[in-house]
Amino acid sequence: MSTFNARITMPAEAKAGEIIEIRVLVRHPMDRGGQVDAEGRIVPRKILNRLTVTYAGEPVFRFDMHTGISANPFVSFTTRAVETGDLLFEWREDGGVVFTRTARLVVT
Amino acid sequence: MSSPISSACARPEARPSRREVMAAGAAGFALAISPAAAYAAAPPTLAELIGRITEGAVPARGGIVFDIPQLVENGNSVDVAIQVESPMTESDHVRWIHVIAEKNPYPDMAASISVLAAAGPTSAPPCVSPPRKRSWRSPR
Repeated sequence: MSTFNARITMPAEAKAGEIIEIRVLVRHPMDRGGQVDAEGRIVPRKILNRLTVTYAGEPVFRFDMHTGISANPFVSFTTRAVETGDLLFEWREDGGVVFTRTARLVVT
Repeated sequence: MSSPISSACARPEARPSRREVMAAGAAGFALAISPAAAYAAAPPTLAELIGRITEGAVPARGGIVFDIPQLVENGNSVDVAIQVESPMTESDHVRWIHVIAEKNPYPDMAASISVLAAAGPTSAPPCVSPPRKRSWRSPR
């Protein structure tokens, strides 16, 4: 399924030491497995099981998702602006597929 | 830490194939349970799930604000906000936040959040839902 769509909302720039909020919304069905689709087949489990956020090479946030997480999971977290750098968002899906997105934070 | 209660919700790659199980058996391992039996095992209780995280330590109450609506219109997606009192310095910071949904039809860990470094005051609202139906609606 190639409909992976992530929306990352965060400030483009921040002052050093400022606490910034990062909001991440992903489009994903998060099939928990065992449900029956319209054709009567059993849908296998396929969820995003991990979101890792790396800021300027350092991991700052990890969100392990299980079958209790809703479809299109939204997560918001805070981190401290330290230096100008890329935030790398990496989602791991069941089956080993990895999706990545980057966002740049400029620290003034 | 995931503990699927049915083969359907098990992670696809984590499951040994019948061939692998037979090969292990032929190699001399005493296998008392078939893979089907292993996956059909009873779901872990809340105490078991907590025990896996705490590893014997006795948890203390407090220090955390857990904001979840008492009543929701749509149980497919419930916003949860978690706030932890912590100075969040290098020497003293929150490492993990675990959310367990005990009454979830799939009694499993709902989410494990790791705040690794340099985070500000933590407030992480993931969307946790009892997965009865699939929802395509955006949670916000």
